[in-house]
Amino acid sequence: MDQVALIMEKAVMAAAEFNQFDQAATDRVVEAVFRAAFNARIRLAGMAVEETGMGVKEDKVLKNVLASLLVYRDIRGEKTAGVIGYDERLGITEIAQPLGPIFALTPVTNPTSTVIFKILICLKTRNPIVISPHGRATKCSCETARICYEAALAVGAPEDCVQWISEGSHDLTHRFMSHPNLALILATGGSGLVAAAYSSGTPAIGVGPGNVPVLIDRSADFPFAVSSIISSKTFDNGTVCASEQAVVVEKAVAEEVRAEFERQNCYFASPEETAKIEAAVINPKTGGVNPAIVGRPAAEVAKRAGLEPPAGTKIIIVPLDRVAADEPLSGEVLAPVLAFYAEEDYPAACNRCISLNYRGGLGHTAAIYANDEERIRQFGGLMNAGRVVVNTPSSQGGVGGTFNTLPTSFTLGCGSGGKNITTDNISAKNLINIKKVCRRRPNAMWDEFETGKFLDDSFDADSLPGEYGRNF
Amino acid sequence: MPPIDYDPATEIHVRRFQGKLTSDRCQAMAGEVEAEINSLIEEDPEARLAFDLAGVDFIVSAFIRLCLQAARRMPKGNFTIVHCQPEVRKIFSVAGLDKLIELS
Repeated sequence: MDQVALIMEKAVMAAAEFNQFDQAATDRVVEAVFRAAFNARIRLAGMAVEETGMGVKEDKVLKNVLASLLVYRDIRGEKTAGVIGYDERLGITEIAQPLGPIFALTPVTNPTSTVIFKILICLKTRNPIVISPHGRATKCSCETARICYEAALAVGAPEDCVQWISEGSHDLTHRFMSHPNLALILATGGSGLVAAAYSSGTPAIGVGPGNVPVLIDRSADFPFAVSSIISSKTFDNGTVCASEQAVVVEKAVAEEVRAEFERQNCYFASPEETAKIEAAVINPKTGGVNPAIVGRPAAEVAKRAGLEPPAGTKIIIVPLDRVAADEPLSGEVLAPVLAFYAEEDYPAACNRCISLNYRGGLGHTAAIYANDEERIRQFGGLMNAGRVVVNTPSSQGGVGGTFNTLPTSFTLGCGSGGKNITTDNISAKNLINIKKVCRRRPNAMWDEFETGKFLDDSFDADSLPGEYGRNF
Repeated sequence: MPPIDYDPATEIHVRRFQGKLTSDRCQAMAGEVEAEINSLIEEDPEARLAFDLAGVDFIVSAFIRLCLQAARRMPKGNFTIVHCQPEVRKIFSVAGLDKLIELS
Protein backbone atom coordinates (compact mmCIF):
# COMPACT_ATOMS: atom_id res chain seq x y z
CA MET A 1 0.00 0.00 0.00
CA ASP A 2 1.46 3.38 -0.90
CA GLN A 3 1.97 6.20 1.57
CA VAL A 4 -1.16 8.16 0.68
CA ALA A 5 -3.45 5.13 0.85
CA LEU A 6 -1.89 3.93 4.09
CA ILE A 7 -2.15 7.29 5.85
CA MET A 8 -5.69 7.81 4.63
CA GLU A 9 -6.74 4.34 5.75
CA LYS A 10 -5.38 5.07 9.21
CA ALA A 11 -7.11 8.44 9.24
CA VAL A 12 -10.43 6.85 8.32
CA MET A 13 -10.06 4.31 11.12
CA ALA A 14 -9.26 7.10 13.55
CA ALA A 15 -12.29 9.03 12.32
CA ALA A 16 -14.48 6.02 12.95
CA GLU A 17 -13.22 5.59 16.49
CA PHE A 18 -13.39 9.32 17.20
CA ASN A 19 -17.10 9.30 16.29
CA GLN A 20 -17.84 7.51 19.54
CA PHE A 21 -16.16 10.07 21.79
CA ASP A 22 -18.48 12.11 23.93
CA GLN A 23 -17.77 15.72 24.91
CA ALA A 24 -15.92 14.83 28.10
CA ALA A 25 -13.58 12.38 26.38
CA THR A 26 -12.97 14.85 23.56
CA ASP A 27 -12.20 17.67 25.97
CA ARG A 28 -9.71 15.52 27.87
CA VAL A 29 -7.78 15.04 24.64
CA VAL A 30 -7.87 18.75 23.79
CA GLU A 31 -6.70 19.77 27.25
CA ALA A 32 -3.81 17.30 27.12
CA VAL A 33 -2.70 18.62 23.72
CA PHE A 34 -2.97 22.23 24.88
CA ARG A 35 -0.82 21.50 27.93
CA ALA A 36 1.84 19.67 25.93
CA ALA A 37 2.01 22.34 23.23
CA PHE A 38 2.09 25.17 25.75
CA ASN A 39 4.89 23.50 27.69
CA ALA A 40 6.92 23.01 24.51
CA ARG A 41 6.33 26.55 23.20
CA ILE A 42 9.87 27.86 23.72
CA ARG A 43 11.73 24.87 22.33
CA LEU A 44 9.44 24.71 19.30
CA ALA A 45 9.85 28.43 18.64
CA GLY A 46 13.60 28.00 18.70
CA MET A 47 13.39 25.10 16.29
CA ALA A 48 11.20 27.10 13.92
CA VAL A 49 13.57 30.07 13.78
CA GLU A 50 16.60 27.83 13.41
CA GLU A 51 15.10 25.75 10.62
CA THR A 52 13.36 28.46 8.61
CA GLY A 53 15.70 31.36 9.28
CA MET A 54 12.58 33.53 9.58
CA GLY A 55 11.22 35.64 12.37
CA VAL A 56 12.13 36.29 15.98
CA LYS A 57 12.26 33.52 18.58
CA GLU A 58 10.52 35.54 21.30
CA ASP A 59 7.69 36.43 18.91
CA LYS A 60 7.36 32.84 17.77
CA VAL A 61 7.06 31.87 21.44
CA LEU A 62 4.16 34.32 21.70
CA LYS A 63 2.61 32.85 18.55
CA ASN A 64 2.81 29.42 20.15
CA VAL A 65 1.12 30.85 23.23
CA LEU A 66 -1.66 32.30 21.08
CA ALA A 67 -2.06 29.00 19.24
CA SER A 68 -2.15 26.92 22.42
CA LEU A 69 -3.41 28.95 25.39
CA LEU A 70 -5.69 31.43 23.64
CA VAL A 71 -7.11 28.95 21.16
CA TYR A 72 -7.72 26.50 23.98
CA ARG A 73 -9.48 29.16 26.03
CA ASP A 74 -11.66 30.01 23.03
CA ILE A 75 -12.74 26.46 22.31
CA ARG A 76 -12.65 24.62 25.62
CA GLY A 77 -16.23 25.46 26.56
CA GLU A 78 -17.65 24.86 23.11
CA LYS A 79 -19.99 21.95 22.54
CA THR A 80 -18.68 19.96 19.61
CA ALA A 81 -19.88 16.41 20.31
CA GLY A 82 -23.40 15.04 20.44
CA VAL A 83 -26.32 17.40 21.14
CA ILE A 84 -25.03 20.96 21.04
CA GLY A 85 -28.30 22.85 21.05
CA TYR A 86 -32.05 22.53 21.52
CA ASP A 87 -34.81 25.07 21.05
CA GLU A 88 -38.17 23.89 22.30
CA ARG A 89 -40.12 26.65 20.54
CA LEU A 90 -38.54 25.98 17.17
CA GLY A 91 -38.48 22.26 17.80
CA ILE A 92 -34.94 21.91 16.54
CA THR A 93 -32.21 19.81 18.13
CA GLU A 94 -28.71 20.38 16.84
CA ILE A 95 -26.27 17.49 16.82
CA ALA A 96 -22.58 17.93 16.03
CA GLN A 97 -21.02 15.47 13.66
CA PRO A 98 -17.33 15.32 12.80
CA LEU A 99 -16.37 16.01 9.20
CA GLY A 100 -13.84 13.19 8.85
CA PRO A 101 -10.13 13.24 7.99
CA ILE A 102 -8.71 16.72 7.46
CA PHE A 103 -5.59 17.46 5.43
CA ALA A 104 -3.81 20.48 6.86
CA LEU A 105 -1.24 22.43 4.89
CA THR A 106 0.87 24.61 7.15
CA PRO A 107 3.11 27.53 6.21
CA VAL A 108 6.78 28.29 6.64
CA THR A 109 6.08 31.68 8.22
CA ASN A 110 4.11 30.45 11.26
CA PRO A 111 4.96 26.74 11.26
CA THR A 112 4.71 25.46 14.82
CA SER A 113 1.89 27.78 15.87
CA THR A 114 -0.24 26.83 12.87
CA VAL A 115 0.33 23.13 13.54
CA ILE A 116 -0.70 23.53 17.21
CA PHE A 117 -3.74 25.57 16.20
CA LYS A 118 -4.95 23.15 13.54
CA ILE A 119 -4.44 20.09 15.72
CA LEU A 120 -6.40 21.66 18.58
CA ILE A 121 -9.39 22.64 16.48
CA CYS A 122 -9.42 19.30 14.65
CA LEU A 123 -9.27 17.22 17.81
CA LYS A 124 -11.88 19.41 19.49
CA THR A 125 -14.21 18.46 16.65
CA ARG A 126 -13.18 14.77 16.64
CA ASN A 127 -11.60 15.00 13.21
CA PRO A 128 -8.32 13.20 12.54
CA ILE A 129 -5.71 15.45 10.99
CA VAL A 130 -2.89 14.84 8.55
CA ILE A 131 -0.30 17.63 8.69
CA SER A 132 1.56 18.51 5.51
CA PRO A 133 4.18 21.07 6.50
CA HIS A 134 5.97 23.52 4.24
CA GLY A 135 9.15 21.94 2.91
CA ARG A 136 11.37 24.46 4.69
CA ALA A 137 9.67 23.93 8.06
CA THR A 138 9.33 20.16 8.10
CA LYS A 139 11.42 19.34 11.15
CA CYS A 140 9.84 21.81 13.58
CA SER A 141 6.32 21.13 12.25
CA CYS A 142 6.65 17.35 12.56
CA GLU A 143 8.10 17.68 16.07
CA THR A 144 5.13 19.85 17.04
CA ALA A 145 2.74 17.28 15.63
CA ARG A 146 4.55 14.47 17.43
CA ILE A 147 4.33 16.26 20.80
CA CYS A 148 0.63 16.92 20.34
CA TYR A 149 -0.08 13.36 19.17
CA GLU A 150 1.69 11.70 22.06
CA ALA A 151 -0.16 13.91 24.53
CA ALA A 152 -3.45 12.99 22.88
CA LEU A 153 -2.68 9.27 22.86
CA ALA A 154 -1.78 9.36 26.54
CA VAL A 155 -5.36 10.30 27.43
CA GLY A 156 -7.01 7.79 25.14
CA ALA A 157 -7.29 9.58 21.79
CA PRO A 158 -7.71 7.30 18.77
CA GLU A 159 -4.56 5.88 17.31
CA ASP A 160 -3.49 7.90 14.23
CA CYS A 161 -5.74 10.84 15.08
CA VAL A 162 -2.72 13.04 14.26
CA GLN A 163 -0.42 12.09 11.40
CA TRP A 164 2.22 14.08 9.57
CA ILE A 165 4.19 13.89 6.36
CA SER A 166 7.89 14.28 6.97
CA GLU A 167 8.85 14.19 3.30
CA GLY A 168 6.27 15.86 1.16
CA SER A 169 6.20 16.57 -2.52
CA HIS A 170 3.99 18.40 -4.95
CA ASP A 171 2.61 15.13 -6.29
CA LEU A 172 1.98 13.67 -2.83
CA THR A 173 0.13 16.79 -1.72
CA HIS A 174 -2.13 16.68 -4.77
CA ARG A 175 -2.88 13.00 -4.23
CA PHE A 176 -3.87 13.64 -0.64
CA MET A 177 -6.01 16.60 -1.59
CA SER A 178 -8.01 14.62 -4.10
CA HIS A 179 -8.31 11.43 -2.03
CA PRO A 180 -11.94 10.30 -1.94
CA ASN A 181 -11.91 9.68 1.82
CA LEU A 182 -10.67 13.15 2.65
CA ALA A 183 -13.34 15.35 4.23
CA LEU A 184 -11.69 18.77 4.14
CA ILE A 185 -8.51 20.62 3.24
CA LEU A 186 -7.41 23.28 5.69
CA ALA A 187 -4.87 25.16 3.62
CA THR A 188 -2.73 28.04 4.81
CA GLY A 189 0.01 29.09 2.46
CA GLY A 190 0.83 30.61 -0.88
CA SER A 191 -1.82 31.44 -3.43
CA GLY A 192 -0.80 28.56 -5.73
CA LEU A 193 -1.25 26.03 -2.97
CA VAL A 194 -4.58 27.46 -1.94
CA ALA A 195 -5.79 27.46 -5.55
CA ALA A 196 -4.73 23.81 -5.87
CA ALA A 197 -6.70 22.98 -2.73
CA TYR A 198 -9.82 24.58 -4.14
CA SER A 199 -9.50 22.80 -7.47
CA SER A 200 -8.94 19.38 -5.91
CA GLY A 201 -12.62 18.50 -5.72
CA THR A 202 -12.47 18.19 -1.91
CA PRO A 203 -14.14 20.84 0.25
CA ALA A 204 -11.49 23.33 1.31
CA ILE A 205 -10.93 26.26 3.60
CA GLY A 206 -7.95 27.92 2.05
CA VAL A 207 -6.33 31.13 3.11
CA GLY A 208 -3.72 32.78 0.99
CA PRO A 209 -1.93 36.11 1.04
CA GLY A 210 -3.27 39.42 2.24
CA ASN A 211 -2.35 42.98 1.32
CA VAL A 212 -3.39 44.97 4.34
CA PRO A 213 -3.90 48.72 3.91
CA VAL A 214 -3.83 50.86 7.02
CA LEU A 215 -5.40 54.28 6.87
CA ILE A 216 -4.17 56.80 9.42
CA ASP A 217 -6.95 59.35 9.49
CA ARG A 218 -6.33 62.95 10.47
CA SER A 219 -8.47 62.30 13.57
CA ALA A 220 -6.06 59.60 14.76
CA ASP A 221 -3.58 59.88 17.60
CA PHE A 222 -0.45 59.79 15.42
CA PRO A 223 2.17 58.73 18.00
CA PHE A 224 -0.15 55.97 19.17
CA ALA A 225 -0.97 54.86 15.60
CA VAL A 226 2.65 54.80 14.52
CA SER A 227 3.77 52.93 17.62
CA SER A 228 1.00 50.39 17.13
CA ILE A 229 1.83 49.86 13.44
CA ILE A 230 5.52 49.39 14.27
CA SER A 231 4.75 46.83 16.96
CA SER A 232 2.58 44.95 14.46
CA LYS A 233 4.79 45.13 11.39
CA THR A 234 7.93 44.15 13.29
CA PHE A 235 6.22 41.31 15.16
CA ASP A 236 8.10 38.18 14.10
CA ASN A 237 9.72 40.37 11.43
CA GLY A 238 6.44 40.85 9.60
CA THR A 239 5.57 37.22 8.86
CA VAL A 240 1.90 37.45 9.85
CA CYS A 241 -0.34 37.65 6.78
CA ALA A 242 -2.54 40.17 8.60
CA SER A 243 0.38 42.57 9.06
CA GLU A 244 0.21 46.06 7.58
CA GLN A 245 1.53 46.39 4.03
CA ALA A 246 0.85 50.03 3.19
CA VAL A 247 0.19 53.17 5.23
CA VAL A 248 -2.21 55.64 3.63
CA VAL A 249 -2.63 59.23 4.84
CA GLU A 250 -3.97 62.55 3.61
CA LYS A 251 -1.32 64.92 2.28
CA ALA A 252 -2.32 67.47 4.90
CA VAL A 253 -0.97 65.24 7.65
CA ALA A 254 1.61 63.27 5.69
CA GLU A 255 4.61 65.20 6.96
CA GLU A 256 3.45 64.94 10.55
CA VAL A 257 2.94 61.18 10.24
CA ARG A 258 6.25 60.77 8.46
CA ALA A 259 8.05 62.68 11.19
CA GLU A 260 6.44 60.45 13.79
CA PHE A 261 7.59 57.29 11.98
CA GLU A 262 11.10 58.73 11.77
CA ARG A 263 11.03 59.71 15.43
CA GLN A 264 10.13 56.10 16.24
CA ASN A 265 13.10 54.73 14.27
CA CYS A 266 11.63 53.99 10.87
CA TYR A 267 13.54 54.89 7.72
CA PHE A 268 11.99 56.51 4.66
CA ALA A 269 13.74 55.39 1.47
CA SER A 270 14.52 57.89 -1.30
CA PRO A 271 13.29 57.05 -4.84
CA GLU A 272 16.74 55.64 -5.68
CA GLU A 273 16.76 53.58 -2.49
CA THR A 274 13.22 52.39 -3.17
CA ALA A 275 14.44 50.96 -6.47
CA LYS A 276 17.23 49.16 -4.63
CA ILE A 277 14.76 47.80 -2.05
CA GLU A 278 12.55 46.56 -4.85
CA ALA A 279 15.49 44.79 -6.47
CA ALA A 280 16.35 43.06 -3.20
CA VAL A 281 12.80 42.20 -2.18
CA ILE A 282 11.32 41.11 -5.48
CA ASN A 283 12.46 38.13 -7.51
CA PRO A 284 12.59 39.51 -11.07
CA LYS A 285 11.98 36.10 -12.61
CA THR A 286 8.76 35.33 -10.74
CA GLY A 287 7.62 38.83 -9.82
CA GLY A 288 7.03 37.44 -6.33
CA VAL A 289 8.80 38.18 -3.09
CA ASN A 290 12.34 36.85 -2.70
CA PRO A 291 12.03 34.16 0.02
CA ALA A 292 15.43 35.12 1.40
CA ILE A 293 14.06 38.38 2.81
CA VAL A 294 10.84 36.99 4.27
CA GLY A 295 10.83 37.28 8.04
CA ARG A 296 14.23 38.95 8.12
CA PRO A 297 14.90 42.10 10.17
CA ALA A 298 14.88 45.54 8.55
CA ALA A 299 18.66 45.89 8.90
CA GLU A 300 19.27 42.73 6.91
CA VAL A 301 16.80 43.69 4.18
CA ALA A 302 18.52 47.08 3.96
CA LYS A 303 21.93 45.48 3.77
CA ARG A 304 20.83 43.18 0.94
CA ALA A 305 19.59 46.28 -0.89
CA GLY A 306 22.84 48.14 -0.29
CA LEU A 307 21.24 50.70 2.02
CA GLU A 308 22.69 52.01 5.22
CA PRO A 309 19.83 53.24 7.37
CA PRO A 310 20.54 54.44 10.91
CA ALA A 311 21.31 51.74 13.46
CA GLY A 312 18.17 50.51 15.19
CA THR A 313 15.92 51.06 12.16
CA LYS A 314 12.75 49.07 12.73
CA ILE A 315 10.95 49.40 9.40
CA ILE A 316 11.97 50.56 5.94
CA ILE A 317 9.24 52.71 4.45
CA VAL A 318 8.97 53.15 0.70
CA PRO A 319 6.90 56.11 -0.50
CA LEU A 320 4.87 55.08 -3.56
CA ASP A 321 2.23 56.75 -5.71
CA ARG A 322 0.85 53.79 -7.63
CA VAL A 323 -0.79 50.46 -6.89
CA ALA A 324 -0.20 48.08 -9.75
CA ALA A 325 1.18 44.70 -10.70
CA ASP A 326 4.26 46.44 -12.10
CA GLU A 327 4.73 48.25 -8.79
CA PRO A 328 5.64 45.14 -6.81
CA LEU A 329 6.14 46.88 -3.49
CA SER A 330 2.44 47.75 -3.56
CA GLY A 331 1.77 44.06 -2.88
CA GLU A 332 2.35 41.85 0.15
CA VAL A 333 5.87 41.74 1.59
CA LEU A 334 6.19 39.61 4.72
CA ALA A 335 9.13 41.56 6.12
CA PRO A 336 9.55 44.95 7.82
CA VAL A 337 9.04 46.89 4.57
CA LEU A 338 6.05 49.19 4.40
CA ALA A 339 4.64 51.21 1.50
CA PHE A 340 3.53 54.80 2.18
CA TYR A 341 0.93 56.77 0.21
CA ALA A 342 0.04 60.44 0.71
CA GLU A 343 -3.31 61.34 -0.89
CA GLU A 344 -5.09 64.62 -1.60
CA ASP A 345 -7.98 64.11 0.79
CA TYR A 346 -9.90 61.52 2.75
CA PRO A 347 -11.92 60.13 -0.21
CA ALA A 348 -8.69 59.74 -2.18
CA ALA A 349 -7.09 57.97 0.78
CA CYS A 350 -10.04 55.58 0.93
CA ASN A 351 -9.75 54.98 -2.81
CA ARG A 352 -6.09 54.13 -2.38
CA CYS A 353 -6.98 51.63 0.32
CA ILE A 354 -9.56 50.07 -1.99
CA SER A 355 -6.89 49.72 -4.71
CA LEU A 356 -4.53 48.05 -2.24
CA ASN A 357 -7.34 45.86 -1.01
CA TYR A 358 -8.03 44.71 -4.59
CA ARG A 359 -4.32 44.17 -5.26
CA GLY A 360 -4.06 40.71 -3.75
CA GLY A 361 -5.71 41.24 -0.40
CA LEU A 362 -9.39 40.76 -1.13
CA GLY A 363 -11.34 39.52 1.83
CA HIS A 364 -8.38 39.47 4.19
CA THR A 365 -7.77 42.33 6.61
CA ALA A 366 -7.78 46.13 6.59
CA ALA A 367 -6.96 48.62 9.34
CA ILE A 368 -7.84 52.17 10.27
CA TYR A 369 -6.61 54.52 12.95
CA ALA A 370 -9.19 57.20 13.62
CA ASN A 371 -11.21 58.84 16.34
CA ASP A 372 -13.98 59.90 13.99
CA GLU A 373 -16.79 57.37 14.22
CA GLU A 374 -18.29 58.36 10.89
CA ARG A 375 -14.99 57.73 9.10
CA ILE A 376 -14.53 54.41 10.86
CA ARG A 377 -18.04 53.40 9.80
CA GLN A 378 -17.42 54.52 6.22
CA PHE A 379 -14.07 52.76 5.98
CA GLY A 380 -15.60 49.56 7.35
CA GLY A 381 -18.22 49.70 4.65
CA LEU A 382 -15.73 50.31 1.84
CA MET A 383 -13.21 47.57 2.51
CA ASN A 384 -13.66 44.06 1.16
CA ALA A 385 -12.17 42.38 4.22
CA GLY A 386 -13.13 39.70 6.68
CA ARG A 387 -11.67 41.86 9.43
CA VAL A 388 -11.43 45.64 9.60
CA VAL A 389 -9.42 46.38 12.72
CA VAL A 390 -9.72 49.78 14.38
CA ASN A 391 -6.94 51.50 16.34
CA THR A 392 -5.33 48.08 16.61
CA PRO A 393 -2.12 46.47 15.35
CA SER A 394 -3.43 44.43 12.45
CA SER A 395 -1.13 41.40 12.91
CA GLN A 396 -2.44 40.73 16.37
CA GLY A 397 -5.87 42.23 15.67
CA GLY A 398 -6.47 39.96 12.70
CA VAL A 399 -5.35 36.84 14.53
CA GLY A 400 -7.67 37.81 17.37
CA GLY A 401 -7.79 37.22 21.08
CA THR A 402 -5.37 39.89 22.29
CA PHE A 403 -6.59 43.31 21.12
CA ASN A 404 -10.18 42.33 20.38
CA THR A 405 -12.61 39.52 20.96
CA LEU A 406 -12.25 37.77 17.60
CA PRO A 407 -11.53 34.06 17.98
CA THR A 408 -7.78 33.44 17.96
CA SER A 409 -6.97 31.83 14.64
CA PHE A 410 -4.07 31.11 12.35
CA THR A 411 -6.40 30.63 9.40
CA LEU A 412 -8.25 33.82 8.58
CA GLY A 413 -11.25 33.29 6.31
CA CYS A 414 -11.34 35.73 3.41
CA GLY A 415 -14.89 35.28 2.16
CA SER A 416 -15.76 35.11 -1.49
CA GLY A 417 -13.12 37.76 -2.25
CA GLY A 418 -10.46 35.25 -1.26
CA LYS A 419 -12.45 32.35 -2.76
CA ASN A 420 -13.40 31.23 0.75
CA ILE A 421 -16.77 30.08 2.00
CA THR A 422 -16.46 32.23 5.13
CA THR A 423 -14.93 35.41 6.52
CA ASP A 424 -14.64 33.84 9.98
CA ASN A 425 -11.46 33.50 11.91
CA ILE A 426 -11.50 29.75 11.38
CA SER A 427 -12.01 27.81 14.58
CA ALA A 428 -13.57 24.60 15.85
CA LYS A 429 -17.07 25.71 14.93
CA ASN A 430 -16.09 25.64 11.25
CA LEU A 431 -15.09 21.98 11.44
CA ILE A 432 -18.36 20.28 12.37
CA ASN A 433 -21.42 19.28 10.46
CA ILE A 434 -24.45 20.37 12.42
CA LYS A 435 -27.31 17.98 11.98
CA LYS A 436 -30.75 19.35 12.80
CA VAL A 437 -33.46 17.08 14.14
CA CYS A 438 -36.65 18.98 13.43
CA ARG A 439 -39.83 18.30 15.39
CA ARG A 440 -43.17 19.06 13.79
CA ARG A 441 -44.02 22.71 14.32
CA PRO A 442 -46.76 23.78 11.89
CA ASN A 443 -46.43 27.18 10.22
CA ALA A 444 -49.67 28.89 11.28
CA MET A 445 -49.53 31.28 8.35
CA TRP A 446 -49.12 28.48 5.86
CA ASP A 447 -52.04 26.64 7.48
CA GLU A 448 -54.28 29.64 6.82
CA PHE A 449 -53.45 29.70 3.14
CA GLU A 450 -55.79 27.95 0.81
CA THR A 451 -53.07 26.35 -1.24
CA GLY A 452 -55.44 25.65 -4.15
CA LYS A 453 -55.34 29.35 -4.97
CA PHE A 454 -51.71 29.02 -5.97
CA LEU A 455 -52.89 26.96 -8.94
CA ASP A 456 -54.99 29.89 -10.18
CA ASP A 457 -52.91 31.89 -12.66
CA SER A 458 -54.91 35.05 -11.96
CA PHE A 459 -53.89 34.95 -8.29
CA ASP A 460 -50.83 37.17 -8.34
CA ALA A 461 -48.68 38.88 -5.71
CA ASP A 462 -51.09 41.85 -5.61
CA SER A 463 -53.89 39.47 -4.60
CA LEU A 464 -52.15 38.42 -1.39
CA PRO A 465 -53.23 41.37 0.80
CA GLY A 466 -56.84 41.06 -0.36
CA GLU A 467 -56.92 37.38 0.42
CA TYR A 468 -54.91 37.24 3.62
CA GLY A 469 -54.83 40.80 4.91
CA ARG A 470 -52.05 43.31 4.56
CA ASN A 471 -49.90 41.55 7.09
CA PHE A 472 -49.33 38.38 5.13
CA MET B 1 -13.04 -14.72 25.77
CA PRO B 2 -15.42 -17.40 24.59
CA PRO B 3 -14.20 -19.67 21.80
CA ILE B 4 -15.87 -19.81 18.43
CA ASP B 5 -19.27 -21.52 18.58
CA TYR B 6 -20.81 -23.41 15.72
CA ASP B 7 -24.48 -22.94 14.85
CA PRO B 8 -25.55 -26.07 12.93
CA ALA B 9 -28.81 -24.45 11.84
CA THR B 10 -27.06 -21.74 9.83
CA GLU B 11 -23.75 -23.57 9.43
CA ILE B 12 -21.97 -20.47 10.62
CA HIS B 13 -19.20 -20.27 13.21
CA VAL B 14 -19.88 -17.43 15.62
CA ARG B 15 -17.34 -15.47 17.65
CA ARG B 16 -19.03 -13.32 20.29
CA PHE B 17 -17.63 -10.09 21.73
CA GLN B 18 -18.79 -8.13 24.75
CA GLY B 19 -18.57 -4.62 26.17
CA LYS B 20 -16.16 -1.89 25.18
CA LEU B 21 -13.51 -3.08 22.77
CA THR B 22 -10.72 -0.74 23.82
CA SER B 23 -7.17 -0.63 22.49
CA ASP B 24 -5.87 -2.65 25.43
CA ARG B 25 -8.49 -5.35 25.01
CA CYS B 26 -7.96 -5.52 21.26
CA GLN B 27 -4.23 -5.81 21.72
CA ALA B 28 -4.71 -8.57 24.27
CA MET B 29 -7.08 -10.62 22.15
CA ALA B 30 -5.70 -10.02 18.65
CA GLY B 31 -3.37 -13.03 18.70
CA GLU B 32 -6.03 -15.27 20.18
CA VAL B 33 -8.64 -14.31 17.56
CA GLU B 34 -6.14 -14.74 14.75
CA ALA B 35 -5.23 -18.21 16.04
CA GLU B 36 -8.91 -19.14 16.24
CA ILE B 37 -9.45 -18.04 12.64
CA ASN B 38 -6.37 -19.91 11.44
CA SER B 39 -7.50 -23.05 13.18
CA LEU B 40 -10.99 -22.69 11.72
CA ILE B 41 -9.67 -22.30 8.18
CA GLU B 42 -7.29 -25.18 8.64
CA GLU B 43 -10.17 -27.36 9.69
CA ASP B 44 -12.51 -26.20 6.94
CA PRO B 45 -11.25 -23.83 4.24
CA GLU B 46 -14.84 -23.04 3.25
CA ALA B 47 -15.96 -22.29 6.80
CA ARG B 48 -18.22 -19.28 7.37
CA LEU B 49 -17.52 -17.00 10.30
CA ALA B 50 -19.53 -14.25 11.96
CA PHE B 51 -18.42 -11.77 14.60
CA ASP B 52 -21.41 -11.28 16.89
CA LEU B 53 -21.32 -7.77 18.39
CA ALA B 54 -24.65 -7.87 20.24
CA GLY B 55 -22.94 -7.02 23.50
CA VAL B 56 -20.57 -4.39 22.12
CA ASP B 57 -21.13 -0.64 22.51
CA PHE B 58 -17.69 0.84 21.70
CA ILE B 59 -14.95 -0.15 19.28
CA VAL B 60 -11.53 1.28 18.56
CA SER B 61 -9.75 1.36 15.24
CA ALA B 62 -7.72 -1.70 16.25
CA PHE B 63 -10.91 -3.75 16.32
CA ILE B 64 -11.91 -2.46 12.89
CA ARG B 65 -8.53 -3.66 11.64
CA LEU B 66 -9.14 -7.01 13.29
CA CYS B 67 -12.38 -7.29 11.34
CA LEU B 68 -10.61 -6.32 8.12
CA GLN B 69 -7.93 -8.94 8.72
CA ALA B 70 -10.57 -11.57 9.36
CA ALA B 71 -12.38 -10.64 6.16
CA ARG B 72 -9.13 -10.90 4.20
CA ARG B 73 -8.27 -14.28 5.70
CA MET B 74 -11.63 -15.83 4.93
CA PRO B 75 -12.87 -16.71 1.43
CA LYS B 76 -14.84 -13.81 -0.05
CA GLY B 77 -18.33 -13.60 1.41
CA ASN B 78 -17.63 -16.07 4.21
CA PHE B 79 -17.09 -13.45 6.90
CA THR B 80 -19.89 -11.33 8.33
CA ILE B 81 -20.49 -9.08 11.31
CA VAL B 82 -23.84 -9.54 12.98
CA HIS B 83 -26.03 -8.00 15.66
CA CYS B 84 -24.34 -4.61 15.56
CA GLN B 85 -25.88 -2.01 17.78
CA PRO B 86 -26.71 1.06 15.65
CA GLU B 87 -23.95 3.12 17.29
CA VAL B 88 -21.40 0.51 16.31
CA ARG B 89 -22.95 -0.09 12.89
CA LYS B 90 -22.47 3.61 12.16
CA ILE B 91 -18.79 3.36 13.02
CA PHE B 92 -18.28 0.57 10.50
CA SER B 93 -19.92 2.77 7.86
CA VAL B 94 -17.70 5.74 8.75
CA ALA B 95 -14.69 3.44 8.36
CA GLY B 96 -15.97 2.24 4.98
CA LEU B 97 -16.30 -1.39 6.07
CA ASP B 98 -19.89 -1.60 4.92
CA LYS B 99 -18.53 -1.73 1.38
CA LEU B 100 -16.23 -4.65 2.17
CA ILE B 101 -18.03 -6.75 4.76
CA GLU B 102 -21.62 -7.85 5.16
CA LEU B 103 -22.99 -6.14 8.25
CA SER B 104 -26.24 -6.63 10.07
